[in-house]
Amino acid sequence: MAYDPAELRLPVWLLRLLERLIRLRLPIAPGWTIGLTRPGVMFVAAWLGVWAAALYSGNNLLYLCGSMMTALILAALAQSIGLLRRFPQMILPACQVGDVTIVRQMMAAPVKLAAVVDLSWSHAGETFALLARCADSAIRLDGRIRPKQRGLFDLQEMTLATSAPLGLFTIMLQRKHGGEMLVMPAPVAWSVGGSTVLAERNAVVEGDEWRDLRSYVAGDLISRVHWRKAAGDMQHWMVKRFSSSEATAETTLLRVDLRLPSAMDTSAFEQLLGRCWHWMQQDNAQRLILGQLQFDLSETSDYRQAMVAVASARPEADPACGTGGVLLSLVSQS
Amino acid sequence: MSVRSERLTLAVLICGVVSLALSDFVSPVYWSLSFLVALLRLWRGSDFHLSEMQASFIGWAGFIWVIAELFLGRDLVVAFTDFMLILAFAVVIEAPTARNHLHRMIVGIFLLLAAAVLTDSVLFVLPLTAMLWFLWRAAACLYAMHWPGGDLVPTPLQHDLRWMPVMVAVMAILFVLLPRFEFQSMLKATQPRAESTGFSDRVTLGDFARTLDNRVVLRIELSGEGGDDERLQQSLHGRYWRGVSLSRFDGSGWQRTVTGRKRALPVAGDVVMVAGDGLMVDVYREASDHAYVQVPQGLLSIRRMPEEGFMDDAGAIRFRQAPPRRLRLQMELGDAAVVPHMRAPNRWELDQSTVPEALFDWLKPYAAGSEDRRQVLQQVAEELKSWTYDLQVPVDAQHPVAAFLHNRRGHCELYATTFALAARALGFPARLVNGYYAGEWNEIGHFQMIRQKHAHSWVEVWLDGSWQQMDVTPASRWLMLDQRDWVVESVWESVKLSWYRYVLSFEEADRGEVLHTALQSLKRYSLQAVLIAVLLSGLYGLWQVRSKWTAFFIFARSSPAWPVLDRWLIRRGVSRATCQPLRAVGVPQGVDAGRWINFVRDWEAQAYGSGDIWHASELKRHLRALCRRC
Repeated sequence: MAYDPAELRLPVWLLRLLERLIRLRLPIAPGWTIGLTRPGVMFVAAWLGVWAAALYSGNNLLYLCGSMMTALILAALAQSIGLLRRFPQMILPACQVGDVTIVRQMMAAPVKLAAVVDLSWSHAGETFALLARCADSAIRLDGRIRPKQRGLFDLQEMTLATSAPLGLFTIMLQRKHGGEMLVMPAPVAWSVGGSTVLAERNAVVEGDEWRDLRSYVAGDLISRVHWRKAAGDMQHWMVKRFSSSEATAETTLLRVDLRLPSAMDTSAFEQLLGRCWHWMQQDNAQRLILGQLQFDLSETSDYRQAMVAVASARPEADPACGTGGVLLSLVSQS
Repeated sequence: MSVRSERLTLAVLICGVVSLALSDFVSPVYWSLSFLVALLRLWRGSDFHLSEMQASFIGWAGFIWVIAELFLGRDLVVAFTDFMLILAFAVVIEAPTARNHLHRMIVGIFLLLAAAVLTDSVLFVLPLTAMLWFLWRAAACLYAMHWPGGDLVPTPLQHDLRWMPVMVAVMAILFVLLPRFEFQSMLKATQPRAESTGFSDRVTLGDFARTLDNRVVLRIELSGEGGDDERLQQSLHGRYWRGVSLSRFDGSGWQRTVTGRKRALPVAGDVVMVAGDGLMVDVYREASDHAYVQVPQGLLSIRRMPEEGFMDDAGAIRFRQAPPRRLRLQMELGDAAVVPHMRAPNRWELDQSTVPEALFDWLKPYAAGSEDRRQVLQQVAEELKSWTYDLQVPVDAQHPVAAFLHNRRGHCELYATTFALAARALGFPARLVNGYYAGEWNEIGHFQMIRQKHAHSWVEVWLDGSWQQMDVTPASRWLMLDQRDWVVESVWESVKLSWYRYVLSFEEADRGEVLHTALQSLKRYSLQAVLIAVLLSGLYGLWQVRSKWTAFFIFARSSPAWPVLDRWLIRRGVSRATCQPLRAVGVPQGVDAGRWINFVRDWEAQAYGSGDIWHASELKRHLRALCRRC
């Protein structure tokens, strides 16, 4: 905001008082709270002064001035509340544990109002925050997310806060359901048939003819990135695959045994899922058996379900169903 | 954006300056200076500025100047407004910084609040409403600036314009609903006391306005709603409004004498002159430099005195001091012939020692012709009425009556003085009364206006044990009044009276009456209100259904581009139902979400908005662009 009483060279004690006042939050309805911004504190102080003078004197012109300021406050509050009530549900992109996901999404705005909405939510001790800029019939979500825990999280108790449209009041809404956040495990490069995926990735090849492109995964050689198609976020980077690596990655079926031996640490289970997720991002991944669940990864809806299943996977007692393909397991097969 | 914020905050400040300029206390030099500099700033932009230090210097210099003004005898309230406007001048010309925006908005609001106390003009509503609009826009503009990622796109004007009537309606509702507690009146809207002549305790003959002043001093209308306006007009026609009665003549003028006890009139107390029922009227008295209440002939009572006052034994009512604001007095009028009880004459009213010799000489022919003193008095009255009324005739300060008898022309004070002294010379107690006569009827607003030019002097003579009113001014006096019949002026006066009645004089009793009327109306028309609400809801629902039908079905089916788009969507993994709007479907595979939203917006603009409808070829071009950018 471009107007802040701090600009007025106020005495320190007054600024401290303002700071205390703007920390106050008053509940106005279930799930709704109201607070003041620094300009709001000044405006409300002036508003109270005008009403005190009007009530004390009976001067009807002061009543009109007070009514004008009250109408302005009520309209601002109504617009803020309307914006937050109609703020659309967020659809966050899938994130990976430990990775910074840069969120930059566009959504249709419910009202044509220039506003900035702070979105924040907490989960398992972590706090996430995004900024939504509403203008010109669209909302742009900006922010960075770096989750530390895998899973499919229902974003309960998401807080939406805005001081739009005038920057006088901060209205906060505790939304019961703010959407879902899908956090995939950190991908782990792994070996198929004696050749590590990392080795496959970074294998020296002869010639400069690449066969196809695949998504970039952390650990890929930077020299393999197709820079002409790399405009944008890192998650959209593409990596060239050369013909010499064809023989190492022809596996189309992966079976993941979700049993976790009691002697093993849960980190091993996370590593297992990380390998599974890494494999899913390969272009030749077609079928996945995750414990007792089967997915056809060529179908978009199945792929999404597979991601959810990997993100929310828990150790199971039964071995992976089906036969054939490559089996990932923490249990000795002998 | 910065230019926009500069203009909007400047507009807030100008609203404050304009509102204060409405006050008659404010010197035009000060407000016009701020106004002109603001216009220059708008014209030349922010290049036309002084540094903060220089602006601050102007503010301090203004403060010192105002202190000097106070020492030179300027009124405190005028000096205060001078300082506020000098401050406004400094803020207008200050360098465009974030702090300057705050300065302008704060000073603008303060000027408006000061104007609320220092003016009562109906025009105040214009800067007030403009302030509401510009304050909103300026605050929204400043809010949208300096965010991470750049300034926000401003809220469309149409959006804010739709909210404006809502805010004005809320303003009006709050104004009516909020209670009034009148603890004191220091902050009540004030107006400069209008100068007048003839209403002081000592009046010098010849010291009067020689031009006809059109300022309105009294407005009289029926109390309450739905009264008989014709009866009011008839009742007020030709009625005298008594101000001050002057008993002692000193050769060159008149003085008020107090011989009996004064009766105190407390605030909110009733003053009963004569018992009886009459016509209830509201009299709006403009602020004046005298404290006298104009008492109409046939006054029965005054309800709820707005200020503390007292009534002397000559029947004159006056406030303790001249009120600095317009007052509403509720009066009950009876027949004009009703005369309230007044004390018997005192010695000053029969004093013949101050009657000029010239007047005795002039009376001799009349006295010689008849033994009946009352008949002589009547002859004198007839003679005086036949003379010429002249406002411009010079008045001899030493011998005004003698000069008048010689010229046989003059103004009403000379006629009344001569007649009162003649009555005394004939042995009748007499005194001079200054007040107003008649007035103008406003056909638009159905109320009576009494202007300063209706000021008049007449005589009260003690006859048959009571004070009889006698007016010897020639009838040509009233022919001089320009009976203006301008519709525009009548409308403007009606607007002003409505402003006084419904805004400035709106009191707790009025609020209760409004609420009571609203409640009664609600009870009476509750069934109709419910039916209308149901009908409007039904119409609104039908309109909504029709809009959706038109937007999502009829138009969708008729649009030639829909099938192409649907086929493209299916290829991209999205299936759309027939009536499903495009914004409700997911983002197609391989398409950037942001670009997709823009595409949907463009699509809706052509499909439901005012844009040209896309044909299949155009749609394909858009879709190719959508994919190419991915």
